[in-house]
Amino acid sequence: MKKAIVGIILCLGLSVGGLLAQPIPPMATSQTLTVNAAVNSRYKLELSSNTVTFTRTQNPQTAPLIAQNEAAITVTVKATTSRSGSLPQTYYLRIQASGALTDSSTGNTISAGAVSWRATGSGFVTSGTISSTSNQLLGSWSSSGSNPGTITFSFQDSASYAPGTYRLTVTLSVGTS
Amino acid sequence: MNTKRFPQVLAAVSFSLLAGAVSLRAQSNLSLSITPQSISFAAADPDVSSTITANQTVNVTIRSTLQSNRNWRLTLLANGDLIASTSSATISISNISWTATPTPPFQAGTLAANVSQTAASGSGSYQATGYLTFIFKNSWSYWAGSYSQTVTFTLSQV
Repeated sequence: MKKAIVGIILCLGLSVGGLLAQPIPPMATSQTLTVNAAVNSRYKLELSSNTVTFTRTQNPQTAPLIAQNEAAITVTVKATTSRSGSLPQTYYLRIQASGALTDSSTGNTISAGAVSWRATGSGFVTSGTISSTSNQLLGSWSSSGSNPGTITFSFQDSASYAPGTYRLTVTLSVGTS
Repeated sequence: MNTKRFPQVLAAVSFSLLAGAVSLRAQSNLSLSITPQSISFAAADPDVSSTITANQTVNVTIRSTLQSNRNWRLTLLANGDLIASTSSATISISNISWTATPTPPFQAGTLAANVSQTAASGSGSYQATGYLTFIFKNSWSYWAGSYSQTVTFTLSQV
């Protein structure tokens, strides 16, 4: 009889033990993965065209400002820039002529200052004149991203310019200086 | 009841209580391992690489000895957004997603800050290794910097 009672208690105990185990929080095991990502500073300039032309069709005394023959150039300045704390690294779009407009057949020249621009787009300098002696600011931005705009060049004609075909190279550059 | 038998009965009850609890614990076991425990995304031109694949695939080994009527689940919890080490810049962790094999039980997904995402699920006894490939969505709009964040893999009974 006593053995039977002990047996019953054992069974009861096992059952209660099982019941006691039920409230144990759901089993879980964890591991940690560290994820690293490198993002470098980089700058890119995209132009829809790299050539513009001007044609004198009228008397320069009556129509001194000649617009470029082509549609406005679409410019996109892309940048991933850095920041130190909350201070961002500003970046700039600049333009500079390599020299004067030159007619290679005659050697005649016209100052690069005869060429000016008008620009649209957030961050772009809306107007300015090209120089061969210094970089001219064409835009500035202080956050990473893609900055679209347009540039239209004009040529300030003059009756003093001899007829001819003049060429000039201008360089647009983007960077932090 | 004979009081001389009381210690024996008490011992029997204690043992059986312990045995009951231990037997259930022994029946239900989950283990998890991941290799490696760190991955990296290299810098790239967003115009050339709109997405960047992590330098290594993460091998996830799951072992479940749950009863057949018990379900298990593997979740990934990003403990925040990617944070730059030298500035307060952040990149949303939702720009990181993963692909997985074999499917099922593993599944693809996208990380979310402080929200667990399911990466695998099943029931009963199971043991296998899954392969998770993490992918980072590249963009010009990020601030330059070295970012990091931890992701907690949790295998649990549900």
